[in-house]
Amino acid sequence: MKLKQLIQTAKLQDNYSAILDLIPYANFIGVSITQDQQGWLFTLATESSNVGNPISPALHGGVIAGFMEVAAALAQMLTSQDPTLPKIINFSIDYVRSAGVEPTYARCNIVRQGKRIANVTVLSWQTNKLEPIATARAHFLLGEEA
Amino acid sequence: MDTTARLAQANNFLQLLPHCRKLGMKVITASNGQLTLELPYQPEISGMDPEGYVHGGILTTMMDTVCGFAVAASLPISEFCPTLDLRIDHMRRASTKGPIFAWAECYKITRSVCFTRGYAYQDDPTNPIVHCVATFMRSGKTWGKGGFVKIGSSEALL
Repeated sequence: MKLKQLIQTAKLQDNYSAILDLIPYANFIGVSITQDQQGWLFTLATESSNVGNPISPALHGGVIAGFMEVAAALAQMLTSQDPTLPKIINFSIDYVRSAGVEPTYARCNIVRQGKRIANVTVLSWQTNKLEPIATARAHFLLGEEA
Repeated sequence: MDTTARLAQANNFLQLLPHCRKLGMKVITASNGQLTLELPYQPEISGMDPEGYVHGGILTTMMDTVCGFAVAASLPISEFCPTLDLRIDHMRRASTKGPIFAWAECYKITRSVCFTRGYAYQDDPTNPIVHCVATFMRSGKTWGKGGFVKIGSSEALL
């Protein structure tokens, strides 16, 4: 099925599992998508296999980055008029608080959607959105229409 | 400590980290504050691509891990150093045919911050898949009974 059609169906049915199934890594770490009045909300499930520091314990920083990159790519794709498979160019993350082993959320902002490049920022938090655990920025290269 | 003992110690520590264990990572070289990790390919870690290329998040995870280990290998006493920030640039996509290697070094340590850089590659280290820079905060804490404790305190295990 064409990507655009797949996204339209997911939005109509409010079920994004077919989109997530396009990204094995998203299921590997446990990402899900919901939509509310503020836009797309991305959730990273609590998985003990996502732990990077067993003493605190805390989530692996790489998993938080991976989750935020997945969220940024999906937000770009779901928002785009002509969705394509976004290719990551670079990704920059600032860790501002340690992340416990609990549900983790992310919201994205498409700062610029160009013909070839998209710039997306991501904010991630756990119990309180006003106390984020990380902020990130991604550049994607936009390819052929899928 | 000689190179073999350092390598064994780094691998033992890596196996304590659940996510690294799940990914099947191992340390293959460890000397003079520089490390190399190896990650086997598995289809479950691929990204949004019909060809099955490894997801960027996996490469970020490898780089965060190897840069963090390079910090540990460069400090005189084991110190808990969480990642402050990390930037990764993707030169090209990784082939699904073989493992990925990640190399990093800690090139500057101050009283509060450790600066690292590294890259990931497959067949040829001079043609990397990604480049990365990351900085780590020095906490002044080490591993002790029941959690992190101040370096030099009686509860410190290392």
